[in-house]
Amino acid sequence: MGLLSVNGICKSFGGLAAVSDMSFEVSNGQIISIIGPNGAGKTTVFNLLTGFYECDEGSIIFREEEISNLPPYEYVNKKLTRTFQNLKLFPNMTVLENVLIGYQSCITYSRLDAILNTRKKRLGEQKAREKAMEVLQSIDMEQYAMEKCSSLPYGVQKQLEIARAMVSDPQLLLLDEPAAGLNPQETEQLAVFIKGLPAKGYSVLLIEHDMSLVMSISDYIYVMDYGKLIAQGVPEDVQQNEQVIEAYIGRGGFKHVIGS
Amino acid sequence: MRQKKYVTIILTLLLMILLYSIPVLISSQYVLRICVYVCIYSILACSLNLIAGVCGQISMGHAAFYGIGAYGSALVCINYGIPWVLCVLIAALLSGMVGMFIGIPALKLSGGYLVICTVGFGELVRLILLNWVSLTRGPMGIVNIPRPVIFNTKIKTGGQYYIVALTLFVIIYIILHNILNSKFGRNLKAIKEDEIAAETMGIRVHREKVIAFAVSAAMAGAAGAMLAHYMLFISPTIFVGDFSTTILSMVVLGGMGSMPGSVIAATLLTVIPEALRGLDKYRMLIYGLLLICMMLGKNVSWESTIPGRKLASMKTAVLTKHIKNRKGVK
Repeated sequence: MGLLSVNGICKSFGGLAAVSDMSFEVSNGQIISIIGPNGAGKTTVFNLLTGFYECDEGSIIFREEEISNLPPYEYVNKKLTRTFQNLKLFPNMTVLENVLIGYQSCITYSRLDAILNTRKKRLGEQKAREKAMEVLQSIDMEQYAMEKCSSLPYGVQKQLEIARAMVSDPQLLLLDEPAAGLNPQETEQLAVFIKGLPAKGYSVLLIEHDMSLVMSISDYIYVMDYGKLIAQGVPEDVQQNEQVIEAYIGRGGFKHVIGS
Repeated sequence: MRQKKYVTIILTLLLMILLYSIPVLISSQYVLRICVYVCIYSILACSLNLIAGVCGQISMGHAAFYGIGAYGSALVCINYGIPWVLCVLIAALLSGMVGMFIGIPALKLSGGYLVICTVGFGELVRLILLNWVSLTRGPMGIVNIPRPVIFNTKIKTGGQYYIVALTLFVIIYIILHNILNSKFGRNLKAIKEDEIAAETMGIRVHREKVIAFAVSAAMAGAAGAMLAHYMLFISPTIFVGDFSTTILSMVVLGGMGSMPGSVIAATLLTVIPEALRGLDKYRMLIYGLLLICMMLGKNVSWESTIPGRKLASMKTAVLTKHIKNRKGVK
């Protein structure tokens, strides 16, 4: 039994089937990628997995528990956290505060403790701060801790979003195009970083357009087009798959180009 | 770091001593009266700041909670003869509960929709106060509200009232300060910045908003209880929509999310109309103009005028520039 198994989920908006009969699995310690042309329904799958959309059909089993159609805030407690395609940080808060928000589900003192500023609250805050600084240190960002997030370069912000997701202690990280907008050097660093995640106890489900990144770090790849799963396999197989090439380049167009 | 902490503590203590010695230093009943109003309005501005400034949910019905607190406290005190301190707690509880019941549906809305909804609520409360004559005596208002009695001392003089109002303000300010420096306050800030991201991080956005709204309403209710037992007379004309706008303008002028800013703005907007009394009929005209000028001149929140903050933001700017330069070299 895998960590996550998705069985035949469907989602349509009006007459448009954004995702139809999509099934896949993620096992512990794996890096799994979902690729496909723009509009194939990849991000919709993420939204279904994290409760932002409701599944029309199908089931999502995570850690042997049905998790489809929960309210979005429940997923952190189920140990599943995501990042977003367009950065969703808290721009006017400091880097440290951003990470602390990621950690908030692990902070246990009550609101009354907060109002009365009890010892429990102060200890809880101190522990949270230490943990947050630890995480920032592990990604070499402790020098930015007190900076406003919006003042950081884009690449650093991207990394911070992953760090924020990591502190909530998930077993599965859903990364939605983490390399979008990064330069080649930053992408290379990101590849090394993601590759190191399974060793730290995080499994990864990745959506990405940067093929060299996907091919170099994935254990297994699922390919989507028009909301359907069209191919799957290890990177070498997927690269050779006719249907995948067709989905990305288009058969007719390609022949036409060659013909002329 | 530690040294800085001590400096802050000493400065705060000095400020407290100064504030508490005002009745000794000043004997003018008129000035003390203004000081009491500054305390009450500061409570209102700071409490509205929690929901509007920190959490980003603009409410234009704050005067309604102020009114519910004032009427609640006055009626409970007159009808049941409950001690004043308990009356304040009951007023806060009552306002907080109403805030929660209104907040649960209203906070599903956001932006302009929420503003209109809270305006409607404010009007509703005013009309109830005006027309439920058997309970509130309608436009005649409630008269002969008993003066507060604390530790067997009847509060009578302006100085005593000021000390009581200041103490209430300090308690509420400390509560707000503690909230802002906790997980709850951080969650509210996150909700203002990005609700979807906050929800993904496990924050129950709607629940946090409703609780913040109820806390904010409860504090306004406490301010109302202070007012009722100070004025000794309350009528629906005090708790009108205009006054909600005034409180909101204090929050905006002081800087959304900045509690010291709210206090400074509440002080300014209470003192300026008084200082302009000499201008007679041109008074509100000049006041309006001044308000426009202050808003234009404000630009950024008051906080950025505090040297430490300025330095920090300059440091950030230099660092960003440095990083950009380094990127350029690559």
